Amino acid sequence: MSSPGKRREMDVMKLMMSDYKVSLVDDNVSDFYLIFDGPKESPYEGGRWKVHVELPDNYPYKSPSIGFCNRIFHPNVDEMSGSVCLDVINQTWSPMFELLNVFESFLPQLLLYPNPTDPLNGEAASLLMREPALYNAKVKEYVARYAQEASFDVEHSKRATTTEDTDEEDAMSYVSDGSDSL
Amino acid sequence: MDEVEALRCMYGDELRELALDGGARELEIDVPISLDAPIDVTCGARRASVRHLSLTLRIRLPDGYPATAPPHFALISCWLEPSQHAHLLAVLTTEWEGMHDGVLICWVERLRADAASGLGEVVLAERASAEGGVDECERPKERAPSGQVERARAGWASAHVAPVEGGVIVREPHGAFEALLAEDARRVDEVDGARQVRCAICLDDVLRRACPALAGCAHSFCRGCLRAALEARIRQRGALALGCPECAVQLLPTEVSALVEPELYALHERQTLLASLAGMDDMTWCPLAHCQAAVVLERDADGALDKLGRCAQCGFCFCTLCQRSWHGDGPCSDFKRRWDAADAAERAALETRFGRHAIEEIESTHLISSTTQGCPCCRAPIEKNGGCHHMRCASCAHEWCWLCRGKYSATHFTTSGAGCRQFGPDFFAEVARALREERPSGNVS
Repeated sequence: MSSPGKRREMDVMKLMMSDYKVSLVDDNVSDFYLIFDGPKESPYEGGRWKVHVELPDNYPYKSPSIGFCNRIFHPNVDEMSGSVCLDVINQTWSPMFELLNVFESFLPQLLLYPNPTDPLNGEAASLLMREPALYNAKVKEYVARYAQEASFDVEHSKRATTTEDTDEEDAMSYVSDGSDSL
Repeated sequence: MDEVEALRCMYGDELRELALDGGARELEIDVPISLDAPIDVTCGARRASVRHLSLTLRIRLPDGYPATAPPHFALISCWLEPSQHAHLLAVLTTEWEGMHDGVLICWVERLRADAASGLGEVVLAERASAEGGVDECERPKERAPSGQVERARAGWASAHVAPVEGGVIVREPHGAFEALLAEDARRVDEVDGARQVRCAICLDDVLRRACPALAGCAHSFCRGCLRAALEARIRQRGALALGCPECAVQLLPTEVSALVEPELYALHERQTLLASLAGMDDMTWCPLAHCQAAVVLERDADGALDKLGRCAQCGFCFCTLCQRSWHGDGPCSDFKRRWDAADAAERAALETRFGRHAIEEIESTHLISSTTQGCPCCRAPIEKNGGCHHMRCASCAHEWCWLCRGKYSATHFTTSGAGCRQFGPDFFAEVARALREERPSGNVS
């Protein structure tokens, strides 16, 4: 069953109306990039990430797929691919949730309260559990190096040319689609 | 008759054609009446408030209709008072006098607008159901004032009311109060269901009746969205509970089965069953590939689970430990393999399940097999407690080599090539060299 288009457009519209910078890929509301700021009072404060959002065909019945484009040091985010492990945007997704929930509460909550017992990034998880101070320092170092707006294009053109893995395509499309509008 | 066809088009299910005898036609039309304000209905001690009433207009069209003869008609309801009744009769008669052709439609519309005007309260006479043991309408032969109008105190649901002629008054039947309330509820649903509401999932405006309220939490979504959400969830991980998209209160199985595709519902049921059975220790599955039914295990007097599983579906009796057909109380054929592979904890568990005796048996067999070799001829276990590799079986006198299990001959260990593998071509040269080297110390063994 195809999904209601009105809902899809409304959700993206709400993001734009809440002052998120959204850049559509090929004018398609099902595939876009968004600028996400690290939540205050967390080590991620001051960081800006470009987040790739894809809405599946049966959105909102199925959850959107969310991926960080520039690097982030977090137990539940894969450092290389940027994919996020979060139950509410995977298994416990409800069609009543919308994109604004994801960026206003789910992701900020994840950055504020990482879950090191179910890690995607093992290094970050063990550091958080054993050396929280070191973890915070490393997060801030990553924020300074990779999560500044000026570093987006540099970071990604670098990743696009240096990485040989599967996210190369994503990074390339990001550079070509996102750089002019952001 | 064109007029009847027109009526049928206009009123649909509300119009019934009762009988066709000798050209005369008898029609019944249910006229729904919506009240501006709710009115009270009392019946003895019971009291309720309704916003919708209904009235049945029964019509018989005589041969001369509409040119000369007026239609015979009757009004059937349980709530019309005699005074209102007389008023309506006058109104309908006036309508007929003003316009012969097409009067029926005017009548229905007039009844719809005026029948309940000035109605303050409905009082139904209570009638004990025990009275005479009859719940049907009593029909005393009374002439109604008009001669053509019947005041029927009958529920409109009842189709078996008196024929038109005679102007009969039907008294209050048992259950009229309930029928009034039921009709009101039905109409409230109908009117409510025709309202447009916005589905919170797809944001489309849909009819209220297309958004059934969930039994557990009364939240409602349009059927399409609820179905799509449930199906996506079942496909994703069907074993888990299917809840309301808003509050996650669990849906009834009937609600789910009414919405999703039958195959998906079957999948969901199967996964739910598997998940719940996985948590039960007295449950297993029939090991036969074509059956695989759930098998509940019995317990012995001490509460321990029986090793014998009996499939109620196909009758197969099996050992729950090795999944093979039942082999009595002895250890399973693959027990030794499992025992050998098990770590300390598993071995403790195995010992609890099989008993100490079986373990000793296994250990003994294990010891025998690790220290003995079966005679290549008669298979009797032979232990080598020292000496050379030339063996002679005590039971069959077969002579054989312990190393290569070949048949012993006098040249077995000396002949290079045909000899035992351990005694390679240069074995004896090496032994000789070793001997020469050891000679100085003088203790050749």
